[in-house]
Amino acid sequence: MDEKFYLDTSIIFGYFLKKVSELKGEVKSSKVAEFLIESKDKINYNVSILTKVEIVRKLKSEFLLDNTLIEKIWKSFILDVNCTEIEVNINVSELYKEILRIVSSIPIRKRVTNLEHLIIAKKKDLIFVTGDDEVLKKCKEFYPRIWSYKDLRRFYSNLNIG
Amino acid sequence: MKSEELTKEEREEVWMEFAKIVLKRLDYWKKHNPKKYREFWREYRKLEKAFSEDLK
Repeated sequence: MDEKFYLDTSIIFGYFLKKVSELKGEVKSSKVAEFLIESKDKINYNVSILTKVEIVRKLKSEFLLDNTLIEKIWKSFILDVNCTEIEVNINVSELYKEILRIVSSIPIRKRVTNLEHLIIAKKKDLIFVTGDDEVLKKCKEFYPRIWSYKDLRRFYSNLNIG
Repeated sequence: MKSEELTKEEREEVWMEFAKIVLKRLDYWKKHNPKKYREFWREYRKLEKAFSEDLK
């Protein structure tokens, strides 16, 4: 298990919705959740405090959850997927100088949160797995180790063949 | 709370509690904020599609 992956927030929230889709009955199963659970013993998944911030914000503001349940949900995800919460010891000034370099070089339309994730992944030498098309298309010149969800699935598929 | 404190069964209960709250919220959006409701499922379907598409 040499490669280590840093997950974006969308994929994690997709995992959270597995039970919702099951209860609703409209979707037979959650492909995202199935993939993460199936691959957890072969793929090293990582998240950061920034990931948690985004998840907590969403759960609190959109679903009005209380903090105790939010903490349990986060812990459940970490345990279910065998995920590591990495320590982020990055100098804030250094972080934003890197982001400034990116947004000064190429037009980035979306908010900078995914760029913050990107720099965390870079500093920790992790492969950033994201569904953000803009990051996938425009940011590889700053950090080539950016993969789409499909790239991750392909990697896992090859692990099983090899 | 340490992660070790949650057993598999307890986690299952957490997800069920979460799912019930989310479904209630979705019902609310369906009635009072249909745009938000559609946006929610659109995002979810997009993500599911990325994990369902043929790899070739």
